[in-house]
Amino acid sequence: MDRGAEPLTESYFYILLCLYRGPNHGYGIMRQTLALSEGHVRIGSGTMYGATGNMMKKGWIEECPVQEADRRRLYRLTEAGRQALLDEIDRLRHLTAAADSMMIEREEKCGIKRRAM
Amino acid sequence: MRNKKTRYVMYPAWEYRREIEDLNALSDKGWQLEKGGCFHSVFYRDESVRYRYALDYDQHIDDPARYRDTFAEQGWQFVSDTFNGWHFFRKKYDPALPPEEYDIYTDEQSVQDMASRWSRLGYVFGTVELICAALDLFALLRHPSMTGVFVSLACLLLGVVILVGAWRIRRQETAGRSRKSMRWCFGVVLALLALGLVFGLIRFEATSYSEYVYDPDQGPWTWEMSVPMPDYYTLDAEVKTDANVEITVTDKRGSVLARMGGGQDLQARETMFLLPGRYDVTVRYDPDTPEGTAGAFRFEVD
Repeated sequence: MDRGAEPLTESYFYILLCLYRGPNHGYGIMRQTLALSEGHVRIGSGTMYGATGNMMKKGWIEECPVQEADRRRLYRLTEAGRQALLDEIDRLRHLTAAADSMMIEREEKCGIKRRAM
Repeated sequence: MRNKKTRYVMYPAWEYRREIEDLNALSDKGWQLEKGGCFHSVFYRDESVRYRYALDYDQHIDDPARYRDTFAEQGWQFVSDTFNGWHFFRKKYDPALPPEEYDIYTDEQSVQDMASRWSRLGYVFGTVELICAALDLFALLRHPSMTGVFVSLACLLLGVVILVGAWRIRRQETAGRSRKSMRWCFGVVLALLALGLVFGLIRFEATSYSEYVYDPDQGPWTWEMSVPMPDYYTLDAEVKTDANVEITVTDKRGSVLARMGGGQDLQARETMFLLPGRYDVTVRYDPDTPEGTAGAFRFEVD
């Protein structure tokens, strides 16, 4: 994992995560993100345009050819994008693992009951 | 009843949220935006629908078709854009939907990106204004004038207001607060520019240029000059004669305000502060100099 890489914003993370399931268009990504985040993360049109544009420049996603009649833009994940997503998941796992070990240690030491998540 | 109206309202860039609020309020009253602009906007009457508006700033859109398609996917209709990179969108209002449905930027990063696009331009423009103000002030020291004072102050204030605006739009979280002072400053800048323009126009009227042939045998020659407003005026004299001449500026009470001359082929500038009124510019031939004949002189008041 590239430890020097910047952490992804929630919008970037969810866009990559949604495309991990297969090609999707902006509106589909927005709806899926809303569902996956249980309504906490919404991706507006301006954010979507900027994020997809930046990720295309980085080579993480690309546009799929679509039929002329369909104005919706279909995006798919590239290998570089898949790797960026997996790296971010690793980073998040590492963070939560560190947090968990600290919590458990404190619970055992002080007898504090962990708050339900 | 009118079906169209034009609204002449100027919003500074850092008050784009207020512009959105105003557009939404007008839509609720049945006035729908047809064309948004920096200096005026055109509306048409349609009470059957209510819209919520969004404003985006991007001067260099990489892929305009993809840009509009991305907005269209989420139900945004493109309304119009301005020459300087503002884009107006609207979406039909549904009271059942949460307010976040009408946000086009939904994370801090993208809000900051949008804000920094404008603030970069603001920093450049504001700095240029301050440089202009410094140059104006430098020119003012050499050639004092009331117009120069207004223009310098306007440039200085405009530069400061734009720089503060650029800083505020970047710090988006504070952009919605205590904006009255900014509006006040913006008003002062416009007032100073207007005053400078008025003073400049009046001064332009007062500027005169004359060329005469002076005959020393006819005694002193006097030109009555009218001053419309208090300001610094410069008498720029150029005399070509074979005799010494003296030029004086006197008020109607006979007080000498400026005196130039003595030599032949005289070229002189004299700056003086004059109150509104009438003044005499007198050219007098010096009889003590060797035989003089006719000469020509020119003077300009600026």
